[in-house]
Amino acid sequence: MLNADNGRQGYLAMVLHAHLPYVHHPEEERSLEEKWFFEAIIETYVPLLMVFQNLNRDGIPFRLTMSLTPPLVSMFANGILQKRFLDYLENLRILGEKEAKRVKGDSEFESIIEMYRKRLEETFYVFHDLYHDNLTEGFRYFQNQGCLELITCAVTHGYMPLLGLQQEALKTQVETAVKIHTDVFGRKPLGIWLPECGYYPDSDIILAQNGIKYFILDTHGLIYASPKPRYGIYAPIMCPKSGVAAFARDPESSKQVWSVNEGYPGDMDYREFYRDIGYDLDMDYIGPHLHLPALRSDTGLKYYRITSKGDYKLPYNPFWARDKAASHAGNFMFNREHQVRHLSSLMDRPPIIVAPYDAELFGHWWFEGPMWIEFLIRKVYYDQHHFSMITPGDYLERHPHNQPSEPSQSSWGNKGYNEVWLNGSNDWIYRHLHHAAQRLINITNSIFEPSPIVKRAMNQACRELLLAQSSDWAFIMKTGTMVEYATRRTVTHLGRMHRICDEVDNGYFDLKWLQEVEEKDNILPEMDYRHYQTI
Amino acid sequence: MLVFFTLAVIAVLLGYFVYYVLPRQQKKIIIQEPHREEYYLSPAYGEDELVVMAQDPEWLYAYWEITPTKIEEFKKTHGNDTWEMSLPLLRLYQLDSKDQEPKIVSFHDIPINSEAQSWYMRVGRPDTFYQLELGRMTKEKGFISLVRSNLVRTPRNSPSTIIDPLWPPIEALWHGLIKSNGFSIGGVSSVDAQRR
Repeated sequence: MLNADNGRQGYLAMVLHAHLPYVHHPEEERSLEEKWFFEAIIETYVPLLMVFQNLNRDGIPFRLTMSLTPPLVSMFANGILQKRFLDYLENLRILGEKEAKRVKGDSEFESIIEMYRKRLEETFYVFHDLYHDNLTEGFRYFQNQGCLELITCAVTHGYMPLLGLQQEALKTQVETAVKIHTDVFGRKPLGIWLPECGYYPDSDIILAQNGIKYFILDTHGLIYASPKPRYGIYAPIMCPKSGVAAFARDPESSKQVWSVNEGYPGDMDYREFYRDIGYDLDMDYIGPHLHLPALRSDTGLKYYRITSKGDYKLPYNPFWARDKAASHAGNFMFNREHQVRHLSSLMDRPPIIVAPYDAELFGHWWFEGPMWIEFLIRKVYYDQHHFSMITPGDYLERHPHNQPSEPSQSSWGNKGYNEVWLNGSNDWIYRHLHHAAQRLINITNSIFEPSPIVKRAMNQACRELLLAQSSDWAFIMKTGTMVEYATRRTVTHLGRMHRICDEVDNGYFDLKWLQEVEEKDNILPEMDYRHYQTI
Repeated sequence: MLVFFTLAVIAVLLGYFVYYVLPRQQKKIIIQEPHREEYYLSPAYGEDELVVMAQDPEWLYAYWEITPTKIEEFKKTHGNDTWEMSLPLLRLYQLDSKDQEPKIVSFHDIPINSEAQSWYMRVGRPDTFYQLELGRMTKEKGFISLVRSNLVRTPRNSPSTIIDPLWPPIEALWHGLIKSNGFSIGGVSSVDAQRR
């Protein structure tokens, strides 16, 4: 029986995937879509950083894996978004003050509002004072402390199995991501989060060419791998052609968190997401504080607990919720101990349980999520000795020799394959995405000694294509919410790309327009169109 | 006279202030109409092509374009009548591999309508290589191909039966995986969690 470390029998690798589509609309004073980013900062990213701080302060070592996608990293660094966030926060601070006055005398609600006001203050401190308005500083700090393993993701979250037949398209999504990650975090990423865990055989070759050592799949990516993996999903396999390791999601640990019926987030004592004062209070009162005038939307100030499956809701009790989070963390840990003990009795190496989640689940959808993570890490450290929390990179260092086996094409989308991104609502986009990629490749291959303006234009054309390739648009079309926005993004980015390519073909450039577009679609400042060159 | 003139100037300035400056300050909270660029995507790209993608282990999706030039070419070669009397058809080939020269195991015809530019087809076989041809089924000459697709492989949907003797699967582990988990395929991204 091989030992993990300190006599522990197995490992838990928790992976948080933090991603938002790139939303930057300087042409609009305010946009609802930018609000997604602001909400995530307040409810997920800052709370997670505070969890890491608390653990550090208390001398509790931890190892977590996080993927921060390039669009998210770009948004963190964007000056306009930083400023707009501070305005957004200030608006909430003022609203918090008003709310405190409004509920004065009602002690139940007073303590809830006090909790929110304190959180808003802490958010300001962490965001502005600690990390100088750029949260990548925080994540980099914990990486350098040895707590976080930061991995990358395809540069605009392009869904790889449907990107197209052109190798250059996949190559660019991966190469540019590795470059931006290395520039921002000072280290080449060991692993990559495939968008939506979308994998197809041989796409791993490009990963290997960029120094990637591992990626993560949905469960069936390994269950259906060929030859049949010796350890099921409790050890990674190595792609035979590239040697890149593939880890797979453990369904047991996912179910406890994700399951609509059985998962922790549905507990009666946890905060109810769908009761927000943005919808509950009088328009005259709340109107001035809404992000867009006259359009009710979430403020993040939610005062009720889930209470029941129906509409009956009682006021939130932060103490009960905290106790629940602690007990759920204990429960999760207990289940993992049980799982590890059982698995290690069957295996001749320590099992690894891979538990990937969308980061935004913690804090945004499940308000108490970050607290649960903190409790879990503390309990794992103090209260048991069966497993330790590691990263996939740590595992590969300890166990470099793994079974060669070809993972199966798969994703973690509904039904497990490509249907979410390829169905009647969104299939129309692929003809256009593929043609756009081909046009960019053709022009790139035909350019010889380009002038500075041609280079500049081509770099922007690439940015446009990459933004159009974001899987978020197809996803939104499938879910049926904000379809018009997703369609507009797809058509606009492709339209801009083609217009730029027309200008390159004609040799005539509308510099004023090009500059406007550069300012709006300003991901990847160091984009080099030559990634699209056919080798 | 001077007093009158001064009063008039003041009145004009006041009028300007009331009618132009004040309203502008009040207008600051109005959101400006976003500047919208108008783009539309090309309905055709002027290239004959047929592209096939796997939707899941049993379904394929294909999109295509046949240019007027290609149609003209067909008519020149085979005659106007042949075109007019023929019907559009997708021929689906099941292949044995993706080697340089894969062998055709079988083929299956899928009639389509003339307006279609894409199609979903149920192939029913996971982990299989396929290729498509789009053409016309004619009376005299049978199927005439217009354009051929790329190769595609449907994903697997069952555990492999291939065993590596160096890494024999631990059956007790597999038994537990398949049986007690009844693991669910996909559906764990956050939008699914949202739908409570």
